[in-house]
Amino acid sequence: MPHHNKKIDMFSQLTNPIIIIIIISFLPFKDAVKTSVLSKRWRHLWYGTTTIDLDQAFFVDPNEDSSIRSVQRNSFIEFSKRLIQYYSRPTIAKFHLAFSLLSLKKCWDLESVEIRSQRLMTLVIDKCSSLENGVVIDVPNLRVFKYCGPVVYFVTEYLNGIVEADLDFGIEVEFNEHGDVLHQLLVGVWCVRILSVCSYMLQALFDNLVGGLGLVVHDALHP
Amino acid sequence: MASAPENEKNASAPEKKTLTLKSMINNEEFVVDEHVALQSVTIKNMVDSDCAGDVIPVPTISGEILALVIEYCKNHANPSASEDDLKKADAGIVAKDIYTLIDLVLAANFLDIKGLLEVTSQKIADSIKDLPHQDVREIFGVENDYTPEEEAAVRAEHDWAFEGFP
Repeated sequence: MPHHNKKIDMFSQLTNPIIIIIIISFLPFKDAVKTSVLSKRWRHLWYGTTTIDLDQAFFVDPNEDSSIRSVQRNSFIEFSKRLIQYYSRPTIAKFHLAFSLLSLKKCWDLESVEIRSQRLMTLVIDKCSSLENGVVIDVPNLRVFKYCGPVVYFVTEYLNGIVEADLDFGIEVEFNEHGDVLHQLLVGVWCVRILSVCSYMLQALFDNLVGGLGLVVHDALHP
Repeated sequence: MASAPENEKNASAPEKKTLTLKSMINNEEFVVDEHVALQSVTIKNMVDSDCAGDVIPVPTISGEILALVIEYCKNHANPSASEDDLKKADAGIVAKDIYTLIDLVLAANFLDIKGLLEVTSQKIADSIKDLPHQDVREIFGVENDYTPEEEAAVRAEHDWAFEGFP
């Protein structure tokens, strides 16, 4: 009695694809996306998955040269944007995001940011003016860090790979004894090769220099 | 309540209510304690709305599959079963070939038994995840209605996901 034979017109008879979507949700994200090629009916069903894994490593081949990687990175971003745009499930069961560039621009409702990542290489925090509780950066492979905004408390850990830092506190109107905070930040990025600072920073640095730190600052520092 | 469920008990026994489920595929009948059968939301709705006769006909589900469903419901109706026991028992129930699993997931959906639906779906997903899509089509009985050009276009749209697959 090979019930295999009746296999499954049942599946195709189901007008409600809910079972298929449940099964797809148990698949790793990449395999879920692959089901789009099964048939026209299946083409967009994977958008119903509740397991999402946006991983730049799926798209970007680290062995390619930078122009190709940049194209690959763009397709990752385009894919992620499209997914978010069309995603319609009310809840996501699992969400995992992995990328090498994070840019936070004008995120006004963030009170604090804590970024811990092995892969992140570029971090931009631009005019996020409500970060009163500070910024934690624990990103060992970070190469580029750009900050523009008010002085906030930074905790930096293991930024040993940093190459370029751009610190702009020009938004501050008056000098408020932030010397220690900024000094702390500079210590955190001590191995940077190109450091760009604003005049506000120089003022704070000057205080610390007077304190005898012996820090030499150019706007482009090449050892 | 703690007494072991005895499914072969005659429906006329006064102390424990039972239901008879009948597979309409091969007419096999199963006598089940009511509280076991009520884990199926579909059956519960029938009983609650007085639509259930002495024998509840179950269309499209074979006796073989219905036996698995009942085994699952019994395990999960046992108040003394630990999480671990249930996990092991579930793993045993879904240790079947893919076609049995597909019948089982359809049954779980029809009878509306959430836990069984999930554990079976997980197992199906595990068994298809590394297969080329041609095999997945075969398993699900999906007819490929793309033209070769359309299929290539859909593939190209998500070429990153198909790396390493022919």
